[in-house]
Amino acid sequence: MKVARIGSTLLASAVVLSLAVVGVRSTQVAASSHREAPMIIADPQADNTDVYAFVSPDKPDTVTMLANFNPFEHPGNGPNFYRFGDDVLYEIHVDNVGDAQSHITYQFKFTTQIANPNTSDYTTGPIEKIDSANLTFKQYYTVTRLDNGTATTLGQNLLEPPARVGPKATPNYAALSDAGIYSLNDGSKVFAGQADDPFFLDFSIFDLLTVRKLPGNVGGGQDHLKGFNVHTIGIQVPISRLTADGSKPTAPTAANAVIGIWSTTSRQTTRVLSPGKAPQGSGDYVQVSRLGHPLVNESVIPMGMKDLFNSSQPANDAQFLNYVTDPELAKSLHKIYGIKVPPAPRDDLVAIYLTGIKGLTMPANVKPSEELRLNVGVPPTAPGKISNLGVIGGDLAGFPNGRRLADDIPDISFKAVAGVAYPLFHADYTPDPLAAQLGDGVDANDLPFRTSFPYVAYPHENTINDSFVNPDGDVIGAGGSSNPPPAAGGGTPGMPRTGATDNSHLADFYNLLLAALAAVGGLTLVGGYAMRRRTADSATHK
Amino acid sequence: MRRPFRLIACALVLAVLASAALPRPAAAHPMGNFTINHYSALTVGAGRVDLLYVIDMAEIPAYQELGAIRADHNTDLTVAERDMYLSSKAKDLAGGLHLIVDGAELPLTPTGTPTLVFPPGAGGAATPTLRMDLHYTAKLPADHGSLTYSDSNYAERIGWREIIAQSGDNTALRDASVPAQDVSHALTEYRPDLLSNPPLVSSATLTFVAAPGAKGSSSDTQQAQAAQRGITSTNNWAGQTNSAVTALTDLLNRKELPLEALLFGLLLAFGAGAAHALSPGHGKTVVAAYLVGSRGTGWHAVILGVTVTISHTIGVFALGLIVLYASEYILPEQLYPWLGASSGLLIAGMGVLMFWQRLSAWRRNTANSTAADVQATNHDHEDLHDPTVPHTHGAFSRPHTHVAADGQKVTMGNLLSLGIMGGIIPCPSALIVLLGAVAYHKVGLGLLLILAFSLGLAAVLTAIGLAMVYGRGLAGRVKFNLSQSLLGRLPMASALAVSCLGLLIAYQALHAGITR
Amino acid sequence: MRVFSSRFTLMIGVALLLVAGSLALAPAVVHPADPPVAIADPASIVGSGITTNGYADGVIAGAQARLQKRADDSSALSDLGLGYLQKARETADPTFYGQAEKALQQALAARSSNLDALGGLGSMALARHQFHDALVWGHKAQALNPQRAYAYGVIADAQTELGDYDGAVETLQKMVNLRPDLSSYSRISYARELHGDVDGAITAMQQAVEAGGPAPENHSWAQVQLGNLYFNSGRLAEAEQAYNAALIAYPGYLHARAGLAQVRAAQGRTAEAITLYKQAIAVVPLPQYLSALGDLYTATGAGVAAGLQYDTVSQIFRLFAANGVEVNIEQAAFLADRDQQTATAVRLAQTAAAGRTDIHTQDTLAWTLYRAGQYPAAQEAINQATRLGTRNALILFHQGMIAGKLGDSTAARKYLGAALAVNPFFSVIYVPQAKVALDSLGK
Repeated sequence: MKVARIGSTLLASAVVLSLAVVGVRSTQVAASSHREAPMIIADPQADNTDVYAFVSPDKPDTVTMLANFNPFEHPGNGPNFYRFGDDVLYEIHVDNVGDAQSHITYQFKFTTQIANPNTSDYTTGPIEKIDSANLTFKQYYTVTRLDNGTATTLGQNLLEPPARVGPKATPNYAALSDAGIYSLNDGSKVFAGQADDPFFLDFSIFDLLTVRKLPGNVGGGQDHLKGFNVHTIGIQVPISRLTADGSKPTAPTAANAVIGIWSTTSRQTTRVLSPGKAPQGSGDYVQVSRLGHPLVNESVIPMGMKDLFNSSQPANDAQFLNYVTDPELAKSLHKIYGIKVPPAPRDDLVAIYLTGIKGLTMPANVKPSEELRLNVGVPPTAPGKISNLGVIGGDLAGFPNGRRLADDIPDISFKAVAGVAYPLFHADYTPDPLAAQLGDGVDANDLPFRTSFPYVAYPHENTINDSFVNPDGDVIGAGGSSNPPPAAGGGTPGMPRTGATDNSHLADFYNLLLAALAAVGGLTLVGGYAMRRRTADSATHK
Repeated sequence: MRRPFRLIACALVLAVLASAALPRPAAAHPMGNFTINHYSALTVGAGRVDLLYVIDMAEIPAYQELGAIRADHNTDLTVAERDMYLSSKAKDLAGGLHLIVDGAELPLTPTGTPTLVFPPGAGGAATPTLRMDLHYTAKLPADHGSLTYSDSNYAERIGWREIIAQSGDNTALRDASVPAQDVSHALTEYRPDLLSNPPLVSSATLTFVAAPGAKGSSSDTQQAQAAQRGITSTNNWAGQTNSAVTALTDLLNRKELPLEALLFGLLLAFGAGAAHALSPGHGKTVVAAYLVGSRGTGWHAVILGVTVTISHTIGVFALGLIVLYASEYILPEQLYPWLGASSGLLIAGMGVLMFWQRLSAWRRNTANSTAADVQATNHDHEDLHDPTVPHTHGAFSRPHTHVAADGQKVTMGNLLSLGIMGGIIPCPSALIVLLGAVAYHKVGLGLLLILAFSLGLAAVLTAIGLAMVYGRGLAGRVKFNLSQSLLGRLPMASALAVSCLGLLIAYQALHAGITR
Repeated sequence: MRVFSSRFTLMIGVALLLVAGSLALAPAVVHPADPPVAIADPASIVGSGITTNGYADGVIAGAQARLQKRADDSSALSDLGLGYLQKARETADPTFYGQAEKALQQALAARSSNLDALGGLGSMALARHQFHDALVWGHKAQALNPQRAYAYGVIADAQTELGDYDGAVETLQKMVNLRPDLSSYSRISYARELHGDVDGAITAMQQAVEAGGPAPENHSWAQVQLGNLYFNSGRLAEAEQAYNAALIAYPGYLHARAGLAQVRAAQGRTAEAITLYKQAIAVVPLPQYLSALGDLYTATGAGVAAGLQYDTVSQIFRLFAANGVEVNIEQAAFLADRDQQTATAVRLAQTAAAGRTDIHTQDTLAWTLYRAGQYPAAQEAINQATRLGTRNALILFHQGMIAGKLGDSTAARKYLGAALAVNPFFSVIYVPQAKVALDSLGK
């Protein structure tokens, strides 16, 4: 009993102490003189945003492959800031066997030449021609093709068109950009340079708790990539140069018809210290980014695995199998919208993301791996019959049979995860009708695509110099905005003033108020007990 | 289940008192020690543009600015120095302000009485900040037009930049790019929070039109208030400082000192001492906890209050002396934590001792609980008033008398040592006054002011002590009826609380200044 | 009925206490009755003359927009925190560290496995010189995801500052193998520099410059470091080029201005150097640049002007102390360079050296001991400071001066000569002193 009482005394004291500690606030301002190197999270030059692969609509005997880098290039920012990295190895890989190996690799290496290192200007006058002497920075590149490791240089000293600056510096941009399309010595065409970001989506789709109400497939979304540019590498290759046997497939069912495509970026590692201070900087290339299917990192691979995925090889993709067969996103869709989703394991998603769909994009003896698979035997769909929902929209020349610029990826991905394609593999399954309503409400790009290679739209131009918000007024995370967004509720002007303005005096009154409150509280408590006790006493005595 | 509840309630009372009384670390300028903050309030109308222009420099730029006024960086400016600085500054800064109406630049003429104050910064008065309020005016050529205003002073320096525009009499403003109400209340409140950014506005555009009969939105309200704040304000962020201390150091800064000013100063010092006793960081908690626990009388409260005050005054003097003579070897700012830590540890030790004493007393008590219960029903224990005379406490109680019930005695030794330890913690405000006086070669005045300060402190601490004794008496009576348990344990809880507080003070002092 | 009312009274009592308690626990400055501050009209900001190459502003605004929708969005909170960290870099304004910490801690509270928040808190600890804490954050993040380079950067920085150079090299090797980018290249450059491999350091910093980062400031920071590497090897023209490149990518970058100032001072263009330092200080008066300007004034005989700068530095240290920031080693070095309060300087350096064994701390300790006349102890410390073979002119100068006082004129000649050979412009104050000392030692 005594022990118990001492215990409760200690408890009371502990409560005092813990509350008192909470009351201790510290406001320390840091000073810094140690060497603070930046810790960058993003590496835009090596950030692979999207990969596209499709049979060229205007040249159906070729395949066009596009890879985009450097997201959120704002037309209003300094043009010399956005470029390909001279130290980054850009690669587009083709697996034409289905064994998860890169049998054909296109490598792109860039070199910048600075004509005038003492000017801060990107140009010293209008740029009328791609090799204008007014251009301060010129970036050249080399294209190399590896066939199972054997290298062939397809083009070198190819000059990249300048970034689009504005109506004065780059007045006739279309001509400049078109001058950057080169024919290579194997009959391919290549382009590397700035372009409009062809992807369109509403970011809020990833924030499932705030996602718009269903249906999400009929407009109403905001294209958060509207107005931004990227750097694009595109190559258009005769189909016969891509298939395993060097011939153009005669039919979609031909054994050589399916190829798998992905792109990677790599930077060189280095020995931190080498004995004898040997030459540095010539270490192995380390893969820092990898991309095949769109939105795989966002909708399939969990956040914590992103770094692992970016550094991994398709041959090792079995390690991600579980995230595909039982994706978190499907569970979330079920939880939030009550949508009935197919049961795990999801062989439909395994087909879409890892093996290809049997009869369309699955190679014989396929080794499951995350590649964008394209059946080059399927001819381009005629313009009037294209569905931007691709295969689930009944258009077999669209995603996930390769990926065209106009394919509505967010809508397709969400619908697919919700089971819209499941009946293709399980005829007796009826998808939840709500699944077909999923989407981000953005159905097309902000600019029309070009009708010939490289198809992407010309980059946006800097028209409003000091506006760093996109044309909708949305402020986008990495876009380089210098303006905070308007505050909810219209901001300051009408804000009422409270009486408490002069806080120096208030601090004293505040403490006094606290003491008074505490005292009154304590007395009331005690008084309450007194009353209660009296009541109880009188009750028992009577 | 009622007992734990009571305990927790009791703990809450103590917690509230403790949290209000705990020392808080000095706060730096919320906009950073390096900032220069700008504020412009335009009033357009009645044929003219009035501008209140405020520059608030944080500690470092203030120090640099002071160095430009006087090589010794003292805030002790003569009236002549002050006037010369302000008038040249008003001219310089006007060069960076551009008021353009309908394409023509209007000259801004300094007007009114500019003010210059040096509110204490993160390190107290030793690291002052600088705030000046300047007034300009310009004649409007017409009763309507378009106006552009820009501020290019200290353009590269980081800081808060705010512009507001209000209409004067018979005028209305259209399409103003800036609001009519300010956020910072003329740079007296900076509240950068996570979801908002400090304003970075350095130009404004608007059009004004004649609006006969319209009452100005500002002239006598906001701007007058802002100007008023500009004179008396101390920055609320400087946690422990208060206006009285600022006014005091300001007073010390003056070269000529008439008698009225001296009396005013003493009164101020008294008030500052009183306010200081109410502000966080002193032995109040110790006093309160001790008196609650030990059944002290009113006299004990007075003695404790006086002891705290005397020891505090001595502590200030001693620290002042040490600071003055030892600065070659010890950096004064490094002394605080050690002093704080050692007094904190002393308090903690004292608390442990008290706990031990009370634990034994309580054990004796519970052994005699039956007797105590009998005695309790008489509920006549001593208090401030004559214990034998029936009286009432507050609205809830009925007439009763008090006489002490338990064997716990207040010893003079306990009282004195506790008072000394509670008071010896160095008090920055008082030290500022003393060091200020010494620095300005007015030691006598400094001593006088400290004395007045201490008297104010004594008055309030004693009053708090009395209040605690009174309040505890009431609490004691009620709980007494219930059982011996709570009242028996309360002294121990308070002893433990004293220990914990001592440790906390020591930890805080060390954490803030020494470790790391 | 009576029972009810007494209970009611009790409840009121408890409620009042809770209110008082919560008020007491509320932040001291913000008053609960006040509405939250909204930001000013953005239209007027657009028109403001302030130029920010605001990558950080964009990140902050984006995160704030997301937080308007959902206040406990952990990744938005950590983005906000990292945005504020970057903002502190861009403006050199330490206020933003406070904002960053708040956001990062809320992010961690919302999701304890938030890697960005863990890494960001590691960066915070580094900025506050709490290197042991930084190690803890780094290891926590590493344990959660060994694939993430950020954790290795935090760990390597802490190891470097604490003097665990072998550990740092090992960590950096893992980091760069995982992710070669500006973050890892620039850290490798520093490791090589410390180990005396200046050419290797320059190569790695060039890689960092080329790799760039999402913010122009990242690129310019690497350029400035490259400039410093050139300057420290006496290669003024290349240093100037690097500083200029930094100013092109991030106009007004104060570290680049200060770098250019030291090049101008070395070239004897003192007036330009003073102007450049003043420009750097106009943005934020950082103590290192105030000291450098003071030294320049001292070297040109403008003692009063120099005193003003030095006094401001002292005032800054006073403020840091008041703010609870540990600047022992910086303050010790400052006092030793002024040859003031030698006993205090030694004590500060010794306090710092008790917690870390890095070469800069040892070098500072050696120099304070030299000033205090404790030459054998100074030599012991300088031997520690040179244990990696760092080719740093100032350290070599210290080494030579200490050797001279100990009567070893051969060593003194060797080290003083090496200091001048490594960088003939290493200090406007000490270069003349080194030359005088060399002359007095004879050839």
